[in-house]
Amino acid sequence: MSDISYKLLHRMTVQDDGPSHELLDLVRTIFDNTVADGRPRHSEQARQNLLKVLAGHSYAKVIFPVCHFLSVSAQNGVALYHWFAMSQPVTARSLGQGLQSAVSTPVGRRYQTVIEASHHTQTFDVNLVHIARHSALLDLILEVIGYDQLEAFYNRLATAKNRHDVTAISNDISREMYHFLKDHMATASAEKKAKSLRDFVAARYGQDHRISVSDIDDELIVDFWIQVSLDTDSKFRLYTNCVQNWVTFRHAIRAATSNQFQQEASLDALNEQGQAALDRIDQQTAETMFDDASDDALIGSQLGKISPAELQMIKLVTATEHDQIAQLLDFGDDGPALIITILRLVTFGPVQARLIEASRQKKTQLSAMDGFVDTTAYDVAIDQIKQLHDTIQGLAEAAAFSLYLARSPAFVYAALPLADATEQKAMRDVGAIVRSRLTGPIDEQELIAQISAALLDSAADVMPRLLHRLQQARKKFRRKGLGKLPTEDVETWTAELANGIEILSRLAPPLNRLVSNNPAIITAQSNTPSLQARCIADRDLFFDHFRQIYGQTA
Amino acid sequence: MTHHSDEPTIGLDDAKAHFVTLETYRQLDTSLAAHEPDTMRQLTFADLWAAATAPETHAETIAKIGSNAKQASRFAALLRSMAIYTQPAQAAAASAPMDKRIGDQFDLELKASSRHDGAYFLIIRLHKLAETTPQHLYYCHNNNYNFISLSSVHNGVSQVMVGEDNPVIDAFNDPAAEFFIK
Amino acid sequence: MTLPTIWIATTRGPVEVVSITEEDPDIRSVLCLSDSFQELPISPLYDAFVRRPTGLIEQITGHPSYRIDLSGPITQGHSWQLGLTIMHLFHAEPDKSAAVSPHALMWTTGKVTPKGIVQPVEEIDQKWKMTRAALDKKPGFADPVLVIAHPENIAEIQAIEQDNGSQLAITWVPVTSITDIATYFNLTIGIAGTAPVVGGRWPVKRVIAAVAFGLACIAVGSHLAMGFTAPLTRLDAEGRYRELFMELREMRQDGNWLDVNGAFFFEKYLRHRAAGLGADVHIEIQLIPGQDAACAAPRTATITTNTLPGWINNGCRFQLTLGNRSDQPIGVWAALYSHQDNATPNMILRNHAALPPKQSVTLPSFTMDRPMKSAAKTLLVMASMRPDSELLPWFNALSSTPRPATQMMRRIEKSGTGLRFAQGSATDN
Repeated sequence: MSDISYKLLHRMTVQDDGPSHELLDLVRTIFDNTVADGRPRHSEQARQNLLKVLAGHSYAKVIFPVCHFLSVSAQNGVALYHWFAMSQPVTARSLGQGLQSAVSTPVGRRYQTVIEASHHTQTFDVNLVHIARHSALLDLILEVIGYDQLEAFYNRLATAKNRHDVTAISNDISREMYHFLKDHMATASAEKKAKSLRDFVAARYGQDHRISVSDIDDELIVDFWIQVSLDTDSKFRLYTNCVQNWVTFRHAIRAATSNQFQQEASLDALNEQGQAALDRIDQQTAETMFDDASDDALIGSQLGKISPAELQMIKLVTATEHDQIAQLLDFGDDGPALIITILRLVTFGPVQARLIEASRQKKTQLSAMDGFVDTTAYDVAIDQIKQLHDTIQGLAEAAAFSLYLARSPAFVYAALPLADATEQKAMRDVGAIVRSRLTGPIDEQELIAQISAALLDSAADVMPRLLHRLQQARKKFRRKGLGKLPTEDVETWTAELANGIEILSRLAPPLNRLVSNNPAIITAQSNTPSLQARCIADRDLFFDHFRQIYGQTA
Repeated sequence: MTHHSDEPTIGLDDAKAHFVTLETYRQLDTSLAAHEPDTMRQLTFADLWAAATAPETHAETIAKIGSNAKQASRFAALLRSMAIYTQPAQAAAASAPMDKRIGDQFDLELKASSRHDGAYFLIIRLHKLAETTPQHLYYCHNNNYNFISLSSVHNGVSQVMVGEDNPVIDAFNDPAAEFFIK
Repeated sequence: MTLPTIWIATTRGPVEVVSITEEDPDIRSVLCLSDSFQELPISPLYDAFVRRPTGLIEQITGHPSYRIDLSGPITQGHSWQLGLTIMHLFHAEPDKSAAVSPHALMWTTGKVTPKGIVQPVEEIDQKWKMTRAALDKKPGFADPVLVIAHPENIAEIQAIEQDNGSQLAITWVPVTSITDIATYFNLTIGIAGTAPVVGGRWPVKRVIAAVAFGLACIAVGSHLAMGFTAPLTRLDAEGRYRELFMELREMRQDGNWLDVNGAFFFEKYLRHRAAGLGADVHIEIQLIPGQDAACAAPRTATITTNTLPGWINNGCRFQLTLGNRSDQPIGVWAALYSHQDNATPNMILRNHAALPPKQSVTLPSFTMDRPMKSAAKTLLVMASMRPDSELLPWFNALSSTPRPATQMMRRIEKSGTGLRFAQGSATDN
């Protein structure tokens, strides 16, 4: 893979709209908001939900149950500002406590986090978990509409007589948000890109075609690029950009079929039909109060936590390794299916970048281009991915060995997933022995400390193979902080090692899946061209096209 | 194309719509990560709340609020909401300086010290005592917000000594000024 | 007026009383730092120390509100009370200050009860230590320092001075009550012409008793009782009726013969004044001609009884004129309202006017709506020469019920305030 960093390639992607500076300021402020003791006001899920709701324009669907919550609050005399000046982070519990302390008669509760409320003869449930998960959106509504206007809506909610009244107010608030967001979150470029991709698929498979993930394959991506890149105004001149957008298209298909993002076509959804749909949503949100299927943090966001800039006491991946891993992780679950595209990207993407840079400096490198890519480039790229995988694993093992040397109790947690099945059983047996020797109740932390001490003392007997592997890794990866115990801030060192091991352990499998048993690159099959042959064919294709693109401007 | 018969499918327009959502999400996320906040960032509710609850340490914020009509309106709404007592603008425009401002919830009176050294006494008479101890008198005059810390209330009366340069004096004499106590 | 130099001892060093100013009675007494408008947090304690019924100072001086400027802060405690009491005594008799040497320095510390008893205080050691440090920085002065405190505190200071072998010239003034202070400085507790609560009343009482006994005439007795009850006059002049009523009740219940009679005559005077003021107000109501047949002809009625003219139920436009027939300026409050049975009254007009002698004012016109025709009407007019802060809530309470509460009307009249009321029943059509 090239030395040119992925970030540079990414920045070359032209964007001419998107969220305004003001919106970003507001969202950043909301995300950074803390309560009195310094804890974040909003959970990570609430923050992610805000971005999803804005991206999907599905705020109307959330504002509706929020209005029900505010209606209960207003009718019980809670001042509006109470919800924005809470001394605790916003959770279902803290919302419930706020309501409970304000009401003169206890608010009916079906479960801990579901409030029963009524408008005259109509009763409805308010799921506080759902409200808490959208706390960041509520803050954004406050900032966009303003306290004065929101209070006016709140006072109307206080006297709302029925579901229809609440709906009307919810519509009004949604309308205000719509007007703000249409000026502050333009999506013209995204729409234009989407149209280009959609039209290409329609032209390829037919207008009425129902698309699946596998329709977006390596050949479609390169054919698309070939077609559009000669247009000087196209947003897809850059192959990297093409790939990124088609990967997103695949993700969109996958997400649509798993309903990850909820779509809201327009505000008109809150009409008769929309009302019925919202009633169902209301019921569903009430029923899913025990929904503990929280969104897994994307592994990509975890990667940032082990970047050189983030770690203080240790160094795990280098900046280059970080960018390379990030580039590969962007493909997500689609990586193995698009391995050829990945190879094309890491091989020809940097070439295109060099050509662009040269053309900016009014130089030409077309004549020297042939020397940029060797016929073995794809094999080298595969090897580099494998090496990256090995490095990640090795770093995890070296970090675990550091914890062993420091006799840190965190070693036990780090070592367990790295050990094979036999050694894992042996480690558990040690824990069982320690427990069996207890004569009385013991603090859990103290028990963990005892088990850790026992394992550390008997590691050479209980997990000899693992220990040997860890030792070898430590010798191979001599990076900052990996090794002996530091003289100060041991707590930070230990925490970084332990977190780093966990993240590295989660990074390794996706990289492995790219190159391990991947049919696209197993050349033993007769129908599959060798990597070298593919590389040569692609090189001819790409270079020929580069000459068309950049030769004209040379 | 390789299309497995058991793979889920969707319509092209649905896929397009979801793409826009994902792309927009990506744009938001990326922009947010790269975003450099303005050194002069706009005021948010947290700023208004801080100014309303601890005005002594947020005098600069209060001045900023006054210079922005939108924020001033929001701040006024928050003060009214938090206020234990309010006194809206007086109805009649008086040509002579007023010595008493009558309100439904409290009256204000301004008396000069007999020492004639520029000291004034602002007397606040509350018509009904609330459970919460009032701590500040806020006032809005010419779109500027100011506050005065209140002394203890005895028999429904609080009194503050101010100098002749204190802006509350001009506010007091302006029927259009609005007063809040919280 | 030159007042003596008085230091109040504190644990952070002595604080000098820079100035004392009589303020408007509506103002709460304040202690503030001189050359700033910074009121000290213990001002409420000082106000309670000054103002009746808890305050001693107003009992002595007759005035309820002061501003005292200090050279430094006093943050807590009550030991400042003695020093300020002395200052007030001198302020009340400025000529006596002249008898005190201009170079004299009075150092004070002590608590003073509402009955004028001086009590010892604590932390004398620290206070005196800080005072000595301050004195060391002062250029030498001719006169000795007057240390005025409770004998127990004086003993403590004497012990300190002896231990330190001090050469400072000190005049010890042990005091156990403000009478001791007055005696030492030849001051009176109470001002000439007022009747002090503690001690000072006796000479005046003798004179009044002799005159009242000699003449035995109600008019003369009232006049003397008025002079005797000057504190009551002050309360009346300031519109402080609640306190006035309390004073009168106490005088009648707990006072001696002169107190009882003084209270009796004062109450008589107030009732007489109320009747006079009521009579001094001229009330006139006019019908303004309109298109309706019932409103075709102009009409005027002067309200002299408790009955409103029947034609006010005609649904026409009307005007009210209020006049001051007296030689004094009076404040007039008027309220006209309609009411159905026992429902909350519907206010038609409510106005206030300050009328110079022999002047009238015509209030803005108003219309009796048709629905009001079937409702009873009540007109209330209150007239007073005094500040209205306590009268206004009574007047508002009176006009908030369909039938004016008799007890409230009596209370208003008892305060010497004129009251007129007239009603028109719904059947007078």
